[in-house]
Amino acid sequence: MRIGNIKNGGGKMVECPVCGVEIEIDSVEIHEIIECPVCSSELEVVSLNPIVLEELPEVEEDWGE
Amino acid sequence: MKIGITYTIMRKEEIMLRDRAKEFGEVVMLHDSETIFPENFDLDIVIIRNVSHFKALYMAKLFESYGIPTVNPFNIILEAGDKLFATLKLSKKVPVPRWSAAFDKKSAIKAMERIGYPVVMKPVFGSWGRMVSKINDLDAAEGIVEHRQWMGNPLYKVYYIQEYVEKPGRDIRSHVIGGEFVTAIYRYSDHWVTNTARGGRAKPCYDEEVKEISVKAWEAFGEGALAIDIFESDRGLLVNEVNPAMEFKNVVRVTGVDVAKKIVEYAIEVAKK
Repeated sequence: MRIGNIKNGGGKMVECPVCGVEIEIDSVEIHEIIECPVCSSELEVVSLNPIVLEELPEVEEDWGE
Repeated sequence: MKIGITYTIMRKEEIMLRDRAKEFGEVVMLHDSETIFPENFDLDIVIIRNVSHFKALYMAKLFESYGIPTVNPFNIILEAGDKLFATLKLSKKVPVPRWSAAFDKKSAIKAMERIGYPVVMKPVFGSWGRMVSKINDLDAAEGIVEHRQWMGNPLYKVYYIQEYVEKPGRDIRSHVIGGEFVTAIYRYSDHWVTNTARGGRAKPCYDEEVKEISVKAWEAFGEGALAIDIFESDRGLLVNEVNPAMEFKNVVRVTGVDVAKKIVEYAIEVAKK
């Protein structure tokens, strides 16, 4: 599974912390929210080097616009 | 120019804002996990983008206290971010749905009966259509009020009630930044809640009347970058609410208007004042 723009096959394999599937990721931003293509969990990029994903916390009651 | 951007999560909006802001100077991204006060911030302006309303409110106040202007400013986040406060402002300038406010379970029921069922009850804070309830009769009203009584947050005991406005399967979202009308979209949905955050579809809206009422709604606040929600009703256009922390990725996708650039340009203008 791939997320982001894979250039020269340079994506990094990262495990989804929810379903455990290996997903290939490139061109993500710190604190960006991505969706696991397998389990659809929303994941936050909490570190870039190495890339670490955490499940996004539940939406809080004052979140929004 | 040194531009700070506060944020909680990096949505497409924050990425667009950061990339645009880089064209005007140095950008400092201020994530919740790395921002501590007091601090000697070397910034000319801060764009407030926390997804949490209360974090945004306090961040704006703190930066302003150091003489650093914010977009949006504290007062706008406070008054536009509270649906009842916003209604008080808006109703002086533009037509709004009939509304009522009450502070007790008995008076809340009376307030709903005064407007006449169906009514809509919504928390004074919050977004994305969360906990917005259409109440069709007394039984439902008593149920919702009972639930509110048992909820911990004291703001849920502020009962803000609106008439239910029959819509033509859509509502309108417009954006006014620094008094300039930027763009508008129709948001379609089969559900009575038309928020695109809840899956509503969007199309561009080019309507002079929408432009006019949007600018008037902005004038009720007099500064800032505001997203304005408008209903089409048999009484004409009604301004439902305003949002001080606009999301705009769907607007950009549908209209092609560079909303991030408009916000950054406005922030630069505020910084130079």
